[in-house]
Amino acid sequence: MKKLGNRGFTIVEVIVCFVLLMIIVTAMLKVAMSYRTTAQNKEVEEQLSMYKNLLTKDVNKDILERGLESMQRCSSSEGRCVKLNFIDGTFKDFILADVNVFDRNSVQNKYVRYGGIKYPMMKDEIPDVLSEGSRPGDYQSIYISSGDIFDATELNLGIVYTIEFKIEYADLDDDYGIHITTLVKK
Amino acid sequence: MKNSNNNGFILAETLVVTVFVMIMFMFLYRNSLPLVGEYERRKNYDDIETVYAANEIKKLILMDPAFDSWANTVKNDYYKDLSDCSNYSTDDLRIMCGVLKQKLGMDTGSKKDYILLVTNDINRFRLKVKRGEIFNEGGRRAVKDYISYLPSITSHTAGYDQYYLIFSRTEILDIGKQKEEEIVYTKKQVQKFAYLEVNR
Repeated sequence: MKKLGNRGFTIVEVIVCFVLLMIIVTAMLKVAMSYRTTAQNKEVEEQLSMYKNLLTKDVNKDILERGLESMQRCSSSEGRCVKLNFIDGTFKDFILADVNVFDRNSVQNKYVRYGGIKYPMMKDEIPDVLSEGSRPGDYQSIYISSGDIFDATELNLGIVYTIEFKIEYADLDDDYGIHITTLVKK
Repeated sequence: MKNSNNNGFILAETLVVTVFVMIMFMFLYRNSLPLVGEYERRKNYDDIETVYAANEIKKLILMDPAFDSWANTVKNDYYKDLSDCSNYSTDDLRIMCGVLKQKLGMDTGSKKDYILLVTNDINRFRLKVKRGEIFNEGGRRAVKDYISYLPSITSHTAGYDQYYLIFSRTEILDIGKQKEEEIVYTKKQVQKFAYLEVNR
């Protein structure tokens, strides 16, 4: 009868095996974690793009369907305000809510109110381990452009109106602010 | 009793299989990598902001009395390049073109942005680009990629007097990355494209 080699592993073999396994698992974990962060960022990017697209579409839809007569600055306790007057006699206010740049909750509750509807412009689940930014308007990884959001350039043939502000995140490669430019013929 | 063979694989066998599997993975990786780039590029095609921006340029084009002559050029040459404001027929239109281009973020970076009035038979225009009759200078890769991506609408499916607008603008982004204790910002230029029907 053939003698079977059933001696099993020695302690050294088992230890070497475990060490190798641990090294592989650690490397895999690092890769998996980086993919998890990427996936989280992509999800946030999608949400922010959705808010931005929805607001851009709603404002432009009103401009196209109702016909824009004029735009002007207005005053609001909520923040920076632009009033859109339509040809059909109606109007809507576009308000970018002000934030306290030193207050995290205030920044993360940033919104635009357009025609009474609140459009959130931030996402709570933004990875926010980053330190305070260096530019004005920065809070941690978030940059919101300060200053005027409205501009009107009067020309002989018409007026070019602009509503514009930037929202950028250090972790995300896009601008989630609003950029609306429209030409109103005289 | 049956003599069982419990020797397992020898080193050479294991190595051959490992190398074979690695070659397979490398092949898969090399083939799937361009898809990521393709996705990144298409993110910048026909986004809502650029489509509305193109609509403002369309308004300007339709205001110009020279539109009919541009349409004739398009019928013969399959495209008319209106990227330069000097194409417009009056001073007022040229000034308005300059203001609109600036507000819409055109030519703000080092990338050249386009306003192209093209034929509805995009295949003919595409062929012209492919042959290198236009955009044969360097640095035109992004617009060429966009033109090759455009859907084929021929004169059979669209009316003969329909024209399309190919429009691009450049966004300058501040991309922040954390380095040790502070965020370091770098500028990044993203060229966005849109395609829009133009009807008088």
